[in-house]
Amino acid sequence: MHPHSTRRSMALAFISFFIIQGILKSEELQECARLADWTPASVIGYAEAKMTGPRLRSFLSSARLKRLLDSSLGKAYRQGEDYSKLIDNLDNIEQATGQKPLELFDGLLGKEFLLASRLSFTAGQEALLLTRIKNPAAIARGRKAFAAAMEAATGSPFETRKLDHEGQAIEQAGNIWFAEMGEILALANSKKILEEAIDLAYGRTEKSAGASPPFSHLSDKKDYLIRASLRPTFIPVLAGQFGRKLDNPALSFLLSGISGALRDCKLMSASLDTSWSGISLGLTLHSDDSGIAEKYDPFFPRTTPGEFHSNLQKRGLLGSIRLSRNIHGWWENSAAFLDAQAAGSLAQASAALSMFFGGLNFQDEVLSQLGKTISLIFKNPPKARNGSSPSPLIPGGALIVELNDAKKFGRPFIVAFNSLVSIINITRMQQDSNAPSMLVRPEKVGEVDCYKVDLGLPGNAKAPGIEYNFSPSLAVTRNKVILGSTFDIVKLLVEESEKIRPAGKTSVQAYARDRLYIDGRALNSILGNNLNFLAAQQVIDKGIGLDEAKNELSVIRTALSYIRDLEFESFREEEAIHMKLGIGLITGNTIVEPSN
Amino acid sequence: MSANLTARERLEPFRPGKDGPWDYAAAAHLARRQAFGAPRELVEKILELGPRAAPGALLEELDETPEMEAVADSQRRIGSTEAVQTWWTHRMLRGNCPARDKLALFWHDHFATSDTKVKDARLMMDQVQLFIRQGAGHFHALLQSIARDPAILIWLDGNSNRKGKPNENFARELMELFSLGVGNYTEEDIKEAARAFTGWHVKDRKFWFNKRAHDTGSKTIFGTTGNFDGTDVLLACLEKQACGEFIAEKLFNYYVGTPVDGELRKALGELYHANLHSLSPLVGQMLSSREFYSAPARRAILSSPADFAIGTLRNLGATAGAAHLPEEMSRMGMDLLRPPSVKGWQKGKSWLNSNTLLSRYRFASMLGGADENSFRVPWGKLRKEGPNRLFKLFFPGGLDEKIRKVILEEAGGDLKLMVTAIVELPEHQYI
Amino acid sequence: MIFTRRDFLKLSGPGLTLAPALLLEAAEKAAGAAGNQRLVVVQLTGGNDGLNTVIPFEDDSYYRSRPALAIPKARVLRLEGSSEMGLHPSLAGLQELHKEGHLAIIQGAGYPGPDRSHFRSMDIWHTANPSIAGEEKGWLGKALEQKPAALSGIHIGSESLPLAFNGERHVASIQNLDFIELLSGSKGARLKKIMRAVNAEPRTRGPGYIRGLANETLDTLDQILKVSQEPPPVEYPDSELGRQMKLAGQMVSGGYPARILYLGQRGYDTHARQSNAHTSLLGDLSGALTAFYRHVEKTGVAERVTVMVFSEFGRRVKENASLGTDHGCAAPMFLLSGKIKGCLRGPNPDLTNLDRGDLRFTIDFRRVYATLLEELFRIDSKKLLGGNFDKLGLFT
Repeated sequence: MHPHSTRRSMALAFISFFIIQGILKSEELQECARLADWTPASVIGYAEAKMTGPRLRSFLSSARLKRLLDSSLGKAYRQGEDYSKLIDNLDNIEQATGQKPLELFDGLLGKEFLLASRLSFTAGQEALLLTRIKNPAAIARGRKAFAAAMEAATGSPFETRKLDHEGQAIEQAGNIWFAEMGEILALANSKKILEEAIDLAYGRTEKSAGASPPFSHLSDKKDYLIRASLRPTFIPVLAGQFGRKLDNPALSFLLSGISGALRDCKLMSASLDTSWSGISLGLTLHSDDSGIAEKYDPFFPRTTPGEFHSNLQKRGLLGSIRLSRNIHGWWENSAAFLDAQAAGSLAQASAALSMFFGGLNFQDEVLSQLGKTISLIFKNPPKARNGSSPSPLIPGGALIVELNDAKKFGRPFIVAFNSLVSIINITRMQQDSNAPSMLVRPEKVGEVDCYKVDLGLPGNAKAPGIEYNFSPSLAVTRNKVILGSTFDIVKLLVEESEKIRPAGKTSVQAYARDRLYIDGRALNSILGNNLNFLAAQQVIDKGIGLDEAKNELSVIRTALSYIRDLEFESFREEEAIHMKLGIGLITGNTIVEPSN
Repeated sequence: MSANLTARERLEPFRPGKDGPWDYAAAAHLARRQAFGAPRELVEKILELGPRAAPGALLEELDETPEMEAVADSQRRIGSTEAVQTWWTHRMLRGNCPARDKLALFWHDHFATSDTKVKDARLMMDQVQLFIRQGAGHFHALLQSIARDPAILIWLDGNSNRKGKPNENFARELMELFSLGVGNYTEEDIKEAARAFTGWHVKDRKFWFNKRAHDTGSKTIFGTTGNFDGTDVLLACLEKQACGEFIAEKLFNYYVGTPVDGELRKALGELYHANLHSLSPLVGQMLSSREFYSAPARRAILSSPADFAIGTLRNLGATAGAAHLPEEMSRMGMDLLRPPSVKGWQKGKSWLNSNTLLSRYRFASMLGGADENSFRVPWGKLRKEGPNRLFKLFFPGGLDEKIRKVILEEAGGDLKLMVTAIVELPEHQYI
Repeated sequence: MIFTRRDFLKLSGPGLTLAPALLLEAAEKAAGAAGNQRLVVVQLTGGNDGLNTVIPFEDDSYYRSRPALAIPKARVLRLEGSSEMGLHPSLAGLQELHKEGHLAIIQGAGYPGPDRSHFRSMDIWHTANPSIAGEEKGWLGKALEQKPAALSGIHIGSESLPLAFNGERHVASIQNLDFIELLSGSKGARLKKIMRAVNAEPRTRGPGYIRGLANETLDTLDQILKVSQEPPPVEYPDSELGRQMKLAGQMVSGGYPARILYLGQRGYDTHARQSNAHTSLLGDLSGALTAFYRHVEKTGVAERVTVMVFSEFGRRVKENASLGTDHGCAAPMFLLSGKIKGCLRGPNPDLTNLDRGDLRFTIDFRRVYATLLEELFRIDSKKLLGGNFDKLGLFT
């Protein structure tokens, strides 16, 4: 052959090869790094989970679970209705499908799955499920199981209709369409969304959720069991609720900031993770480029973080709530957050409170002096050694408000406190001339002046009643006003407050956090301290015997003993709001039954 | 039959068979009067005990169970009027000895003290506990104890009664309302008795004999002179013939309810003395007499709100919800621990006017209504027993056939509606 | 024996009066048109600021005393027949009623020795006794006692029964209309059937007293149920006052026997930031009153019902530092009826001759009471009010 023509044929062959490869390539299945890459961008939101199968297996076979189920609580659970229903359902599945439910789950969904949804006018609510199969045998088993179940239900053999979308086989069974693409199984309740997923899978289009801007806010961290993301503005019912004016001032103080963030929110993502040491749930609101509206600034002040609260926690609290707000800012602009009537009632409250503060204008002269953090602290009282604690034994509480300059502006609070006590005395005197007067006694804690209210109760009471829980007190430290239900709690707070050195001018200010904390063991103690009292109330309300009532309470206490603490935090990070809820569990080697 | 008997004969013991049948209806009649309602177990127990033994036995039951102690402690600790009211309604509803609580209710009305002035629910609780403990004992002891009760002294201005400035409130009510009745003393007796009680004060919520305020001078009471003190006055009242008649007649009206004429009154006084002022046998004899089991005495008394509400609940076997009862009973006209005046509650027909009747209807609706779980009525058990047993439960003595028919027709298939209708029947308002 | 308020409050719970309906219908028919007048009392609790309700818009001292709160002249609603007085802008409905001649405005109503305490002053209005000292019967309670067969009263509202009704006659208080539910629905109907049957039967031996009572109770329950089911031909405002007036309108139009109805509106104690609060209260009041009048107009009973609106005192002329006003003395009253001669009675408020900063009263409120007692119920007001109070010629 002529060498020239050989080279030409070879070139032709080479070129044809590439052309054919190109054509073939466009029909080739892409690799699926993330399931989100095969999810159409038009979805409202999706949920994804990883490694649920192995985690479930390990949970079910763990020694800790065995111990839990053998404990008194576990035994009670296993005798209950819910447990037997669960077992029945699992048995039914096994019977119908001929396979163990755990195997089915692990095989089909256990590795990784994603469930997405969108609303459309024509097709209603469309759902798409993408799952990474464990191995090919799993699909075969899955088919078999489903077929068996359908046959058992309908009595007739199960068959699917076979279709095709541009070379990819699709099967239809009733309202479900599904397609197998390599190790990914795709199911949907509408043909259209399935076809779009297939197109993404074959690279015919790039418009996936994984690549779209709204979902780009999602972090790549894999520290969750299951995560869901949602674009709230696409849900018509919800969109109108956010950012609207409330009719309750307290609610507004707490929530208007979050409500506003929701209004400006472009993506909401929630994640859940569980382990033997706790459950954590997180929610993040991502706003768009314009960010969170400025009018919500009073809800997200910047402060200097301090050690006051962490020190307090070391001294053993039942719980604490810390709110960071620019109170004066909120009160002044209340018309933006409250409807007319509520805003009016706030104005009236302001006028009334002015009287307590000796005529100062409450809003402009008192509120403006307050700092940006309000805290509520709860602590269990110590049990009296000689056994004469009041019953019911109520935890003490205190309200702490920061004051910019207590030396100058602390006085009005002391005046207000004394006025309040006088007014209560006068009212009581009018109703009953024999009632003892409440006296305000000054006491010093270190250098700080405290004022303690003596209720005039007789000492040495043999069976002290509920009123013995209270010795209301007020203290004004360098930078705080502390109002507590007992003198002990105020003393403790004053001591801790005085230990802290004031922050320097150069310290960094960051967005403040709102925090709620509850200590599980302290909570359990309340039940323990008041067992007889609570049992008696159950006897009255439910007509059961005393022993039965005490047993019911013991079960609750045992359940509580597994909870170490509960913590909720909410904070802003530039243009996103994060909320985290964590429940710490104690499921270790020694499960402690409550002792007192 | 009663018309032909003398007063003494009417008070003689009822002889089963001879004076009338000793049957379920008769036993239920005793249950309703001496306790609250006529639940099956109680009626059967009474049937077994027999008419003579039953009243005494019912008053002897042990009633301090751990439940009752726990409830008493917790409610006292709370110390509010509502809490103490709930303590008592819980006792009445769930206690083992409702006869004691029914008798205590009598004394609470007799020595009517209102928390609106005392303003101390714990003291009121002490007073009620006094009635429960000593209400079936000797009247002498009861009167001596109540005269030193801090709640009643506050109520009747004890602390204002001082030497040189006597306050007659306590002395007057003692004679007029607590021991003798109108017409058995003079104004002078009251004045002098007030002097005898000077210094009977309350300090730190306890009885305190204030020596400095006590008038030790000579006083003339009921024609006798001496430097009497309060205890002497009490004894003097207790020894009068009128006292026995007064107390016995009041108890008779409470428990038996047939009209009392002069002769019967005298006979009752004799009964009181024959029992040496001991209340349990006195009440026992009244409740086992021919008069009690005679036809005019059956369903003769209009139920008080306590009888109505608690009796109905006990009939149905309800086990809970005492906390709701004080308010309901108050709407019906009986605000526990707060009688309208020192005269106590107006009884009989006064319990019912259109407002209070409506409150009873409301209560009847509540039984089967939205709040079904609050009283824990055992509907399942009642359903199994069926409508006929229900009629027998509420009307062991029988019910007009026409009424029965109407109820079965309209509400036959709906047990809750049936119960509401039955509880609203005029017949059920009488015990 | 006078009932103390305590006894009285305890007995009058969610219940009804004792007046048998049949007797009343017969009495009504016999008495003819003159004998079936009704009174609806609307109490504004808290102290209504009369000066901003009926406004002296030509008086400079008004604007000087209230730089922030005075209603601008341009916004005042003019009153027919007056060049100096007008109404608050929220009272458009009342302006129209006044133009039609159905609204009488009594200016400067009060009493000698004014008391600025809410409780005492309200007690004074309720008992018509400025020197009240302790428990007393109310003016309406006394009226009910005088005419037991013809008159009965009813209180609509969730507060306790007003002292005005204190007396020996029982008066009902409809609180949440919940007792009506006792007899509504299919279950209620069956229950009612049973109760009727059971209480109709005379039996050989039985509690006759209760049967009679039960029948009366059922009758009155039925009546309230009946009138409240008929939807009114007008829209009432959706507020507490609106709902109460709606029931009053239904009762009056539907022939419910009670001749004296009592209801009220709370919130007038505007010590701070008065402007918005007062505006919304007056708007509610005007809406409810107008709807009521149109209702009774349409059902043809407008000439047989009179509405009296009052408050326990007015408010100070000078505004305070919190953009509100403090307790005062005299204030205007309103009377609304088809039978009334619309007018503006009493001298216009004199802001130069004040009593310690408050308006002086010019018409003793007991004259209004006397007028109503005599004209509507033919009761001797001298005896009842304990004094001679000249009637105001208000009725046609």
